[in-house]
Amino acid sequence: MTLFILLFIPLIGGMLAWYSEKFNANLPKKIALVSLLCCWLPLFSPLNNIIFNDNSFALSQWLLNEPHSWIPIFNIGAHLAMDGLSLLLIVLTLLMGLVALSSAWHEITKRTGFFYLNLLWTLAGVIGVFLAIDLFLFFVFWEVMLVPMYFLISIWGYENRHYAAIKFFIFTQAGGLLMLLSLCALVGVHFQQTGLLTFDYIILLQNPISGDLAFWIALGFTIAFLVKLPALPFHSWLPDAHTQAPTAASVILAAVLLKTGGYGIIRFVLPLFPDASLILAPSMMLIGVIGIIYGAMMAFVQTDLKRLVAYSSVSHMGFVLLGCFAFNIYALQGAVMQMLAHGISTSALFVLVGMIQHRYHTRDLNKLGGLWSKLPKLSAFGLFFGIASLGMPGLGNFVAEFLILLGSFEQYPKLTIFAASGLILAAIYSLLLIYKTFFGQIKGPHDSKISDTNTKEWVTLLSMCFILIYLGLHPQPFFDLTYTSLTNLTFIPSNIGS
Amino acid sequence: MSFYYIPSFILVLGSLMILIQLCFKRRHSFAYLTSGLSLLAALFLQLYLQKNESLIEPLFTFNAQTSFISLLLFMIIGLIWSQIYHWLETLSEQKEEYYLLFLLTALGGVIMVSSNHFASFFMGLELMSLSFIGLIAYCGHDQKAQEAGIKYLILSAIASAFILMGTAILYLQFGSLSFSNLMQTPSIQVLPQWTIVCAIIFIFTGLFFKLSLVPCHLWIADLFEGAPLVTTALLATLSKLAAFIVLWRLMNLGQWQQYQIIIDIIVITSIASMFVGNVLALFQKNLLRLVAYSSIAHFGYLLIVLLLINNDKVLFSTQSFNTQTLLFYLVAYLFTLVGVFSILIQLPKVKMLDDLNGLFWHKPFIAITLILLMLSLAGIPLTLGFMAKFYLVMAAISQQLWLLLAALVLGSTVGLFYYLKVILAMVKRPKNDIAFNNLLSDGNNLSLNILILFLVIGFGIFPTSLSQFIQQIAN
Repeated sequence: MTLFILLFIPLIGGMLAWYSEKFNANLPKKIALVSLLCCWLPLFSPLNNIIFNDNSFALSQWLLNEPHSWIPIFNIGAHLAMDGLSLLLIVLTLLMGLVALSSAWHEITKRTGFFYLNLLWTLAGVIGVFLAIDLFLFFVFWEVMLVPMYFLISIWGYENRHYAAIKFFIFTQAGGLLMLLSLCALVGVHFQQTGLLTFDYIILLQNPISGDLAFWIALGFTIAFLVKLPALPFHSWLPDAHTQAPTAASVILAAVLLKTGGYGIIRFVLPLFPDASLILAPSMMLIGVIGIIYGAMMAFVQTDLKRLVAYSSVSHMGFVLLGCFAFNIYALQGAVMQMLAHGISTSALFVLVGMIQHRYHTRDLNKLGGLWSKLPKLSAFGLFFGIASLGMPGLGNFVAEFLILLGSFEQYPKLTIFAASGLILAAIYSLLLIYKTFFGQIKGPHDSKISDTNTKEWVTLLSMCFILIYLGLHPQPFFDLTYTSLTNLTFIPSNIGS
Repeated sequence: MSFYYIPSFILVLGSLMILIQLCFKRRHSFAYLTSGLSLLAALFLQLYLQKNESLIEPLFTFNAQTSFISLLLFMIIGLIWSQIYHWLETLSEQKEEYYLLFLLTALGGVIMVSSNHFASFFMGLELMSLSFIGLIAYCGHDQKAQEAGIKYLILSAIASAFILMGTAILYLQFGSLSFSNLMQTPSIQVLPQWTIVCAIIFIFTGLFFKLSLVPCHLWIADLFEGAPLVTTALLATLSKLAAFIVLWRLMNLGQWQQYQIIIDIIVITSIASMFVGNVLALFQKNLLRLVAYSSIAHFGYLLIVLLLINNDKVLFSTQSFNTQTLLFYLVAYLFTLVGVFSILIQLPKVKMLDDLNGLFWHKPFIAITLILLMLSLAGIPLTLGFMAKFYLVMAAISQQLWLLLAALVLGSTVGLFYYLKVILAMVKRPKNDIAFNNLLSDGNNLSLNILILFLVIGFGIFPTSLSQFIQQIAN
């Protein structure tokens, strides 16, 4: 039951938070904090195992495995399971949930109860996506987590919020419907080939389907994940959603919602369709590389801070796509690392932008400048995370990008050379962001009342700094944790030497 | 005489009681109770009849499926009936005749869904359509309602004429009006094949009109907007359910899938309905017009069921699963739609989308119910609407109907826009805060909303019992 408890804590916490608004508008955030902290309790025993006896998890892929029956007529199960990969992403989700909570603490003053309900339910949906092993259940979480996110953007967002929320919802739902078709087709073909009707990932994995349809099914899944990642032709919802969302929602979007796309590719597309993904690989790598360069160039021309960070996400997630389809353990581990590091560094940037907007009521790069003299602590954090995002050695992002480039160079040297240029472009826009915001002439209104970071803010930011530094200096535990999951992808042994 | 006729007789009895009572003394509450009691009795008898053996008579056929559909019909009527009293109190017209026509419509629907003969089918159809004309034009002073009534009268007459023509041609070929004789291949081919195809197209035209499928859809939005609200609810659920069941039965019994041109017509109609319905719904600012167009799209999706051919080699492509798909989709869609209408009846002042502004913050429970119903119509998981769509996709994928599936995906994506628009309207800040203060929220409405939520969300999350029940019926 551990995993189900993990799933239900935020759901119930959200309900309580909403109800408690009747008594006191400040109560919901405290309840949200408590329930987020409670979420760590079910994780205690797997984390404890990993940290104190290293060998236990190497034996089997699944740390926890909880199958239950759900809809017997289609043989659909409520099957949750956790391996190293999902554990890492859940830890990321819970950490970023705390960060989002911290950034919403003073920002959200209206309709607080419903806000925290949506925040917690989004997190529950994301946790569900990372845990669901039954494909139908996965699809359910995949779709359902969007609904509270939609409300977060459309109620508490900025001026153009309704447009952004609808665009976000439609894009991801269209991808989702495509996934539903592919999912049903996958189960149908699997039934024809084995006579076994099942939606269970572990069983489907044993007999990967073959034939012409497999390619199209794989393509359907991949497009659904590309929309969420987001990769190039499907990315246009991201800048709008990020720009219009309140800071807390931006943090959740950047840190965990985008990761579900990468997670989906690693968990489902690659192992379920080994042949088809080999065929897809060159075009996906190309899309990844175009995404890296395009995202970086678009980031460079933005004047809105949030849009700049959003486009930098497109660029960084291009690396994840590149890593996933390089068929190489280094690149895959790099992709996982990139998801973690990007999750932390980008959400930190969104938190910073949120703080700046809270103080100056603008995100326009042309109206900001010279913040360093007024807000030295905040600016120092800005410098740190800007540099993290450009991939400075010693931080997690560098390890990730280096591994991805190393792995994919082995397979596709020419494409990788272009991808590497993304690092230089990242340096350009990151430095532009730092330069225009924190240095240069003071342009903002001269208001002496604007204060520097308070304790809550710098504790949040400082802990994110430490995680990034730890990821950069000592990434080995994280690689060990995901190694079993990633080497289980069947094609890796055959391709690793070629 | 078989037990199976009793529910219909109870309805006849109920309407006669109301008629007799009208001669002596007009009392609203008495008519309300009489109609309610007869509906309730019919509902429980129908429930009791679920387990009876099947029976085929010249005019009617009774088996597990028709019993289930009749039960569904009674449940929908009952749900609508439970809201009717307060709503009628707000009208200035005489109230008792509404119940009379209401019961007669239900009777027509029940006759249609279990008919096994063109005579009984036509009788049911006419009984329902003629009562509808009365129900639509019930408010004498309302210009729009009068216009809608006339429109329905003329179009319904034309549709009936088409159906009669088609029936006549089929009679010429088969020498019988019974549905069961449609299947027998006659020893002598009296008419060339194209005349039979023509006859089928005539019948389709009539039924497509009742189902408001493209290109016979032009009337529906005006009618939904003009007719009294409860009539609209009946029109959207009861008449469409009955017409679709007849269409499906004819298609199966006559094996009309053997004609390629018929299949083409259904494919084109289905795709056109999905697109026209969804795209036109996008531009609507009136809630009822939006629901009208969305119902065109939903019956467009449902037409896919007619194209499922039995092929036991493929997963889920048995007759039983096709029937299950049809029944599940009908249950899901009709309950959701009845839910939407009962919310609209509870909000009498709301006509346009903007009138919903701020509902979420003032009456959260009603708003959440409506939000979940909209999500169910849009097919978001954990609602009944999603399970229905899942059934449909599974069945269509087994048959590899890729073109229709692509249209389904595109149509649903477009559909999301306007369902979201309704949700968005509710969470927007209102212009004036007092709009919803005088809403009545009595226990009746509250318990009805809870029931609807239980049906739509409860069966959405745990569909097992419902799907097993439907599976038993389909076998």
